[in-house]
Amino acid sequence: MHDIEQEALAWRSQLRKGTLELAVLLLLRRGRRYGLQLVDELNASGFGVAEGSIYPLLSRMRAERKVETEWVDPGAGHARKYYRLSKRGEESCAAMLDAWRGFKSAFERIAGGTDARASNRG
Amino acid sequence: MRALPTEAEQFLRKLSAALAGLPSADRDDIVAEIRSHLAERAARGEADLVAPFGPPEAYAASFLQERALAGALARGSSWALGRALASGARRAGGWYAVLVLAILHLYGIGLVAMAALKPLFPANVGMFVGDGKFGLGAHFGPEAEYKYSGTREVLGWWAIPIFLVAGALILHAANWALRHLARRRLVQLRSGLWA
Repeated sequence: MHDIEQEALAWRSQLRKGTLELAVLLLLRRGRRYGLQLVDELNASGFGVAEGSIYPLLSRMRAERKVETEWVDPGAGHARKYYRLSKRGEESCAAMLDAWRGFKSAFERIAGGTDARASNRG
Repeated sequence: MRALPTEAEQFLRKLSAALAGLPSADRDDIVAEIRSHLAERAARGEADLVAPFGPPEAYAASFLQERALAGALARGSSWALGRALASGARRAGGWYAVLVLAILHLYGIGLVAMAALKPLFPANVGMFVGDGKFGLGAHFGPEAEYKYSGTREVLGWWAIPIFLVAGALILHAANWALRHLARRRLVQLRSGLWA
């Protein structure tokens, strides 16, 4: 039992890794955000993200010109680096969301089929 | 700027040192951003600020490789792509693939260079056939003279378009293969298969 839980946990972490970029793109589509703010929102939504993993991702998205950055000092004693979506980022977000929705509905058809068979048997 | 706990300052120093491979503006930007993150956590009264980041060297590595690959793909330079792929190769196979593609690039460049040399040295550049021998390229010096004695250059001025097209095709194919490899590596990196 313990092994199966471990396996499910590892699988969830793979799913998160594969979808983190889309989650970040979707949050940035609502407006500019800074790193810790993204971490807080992702955790509040239940997506769950390792604290440090957001910055290498954001750095790469910036190198790919999907986001633009801007330092803002709110006078809180430390400036914050804000990210906003570029045109390219918006396009990337739309394409990934499409792919995700297609995948999700395909998966639900499969999962639904399994459920129906299980309940027929029962 | 408010001072951070010693442990956090030490983490930032080590992170900065480990990011030395990046342009200094990018490195300073990353370090400043992590500093801001830690400062905000500290201001919330949280302890154990740096533990979630893991060792600074490993954390720095997660910036370097992805960035190198993604940046090189965006710029489209074969040189940058090859370097990013070679430095990130974790298996001999990956390294050999880059080596083979680098040699192909050199061939392509060589062919284009020969097309440029043809008008200057028409007798020394082209395809040499005759006396049971065959040679392709540019031949200079007494040794080549002896080696290709009895042969005749058969391409004439056609050598220029033929070398140009062949060179361009080889360069194009090698570049395509390099980009294909880089994209595949990025997918692997992002899905955490190699993590």
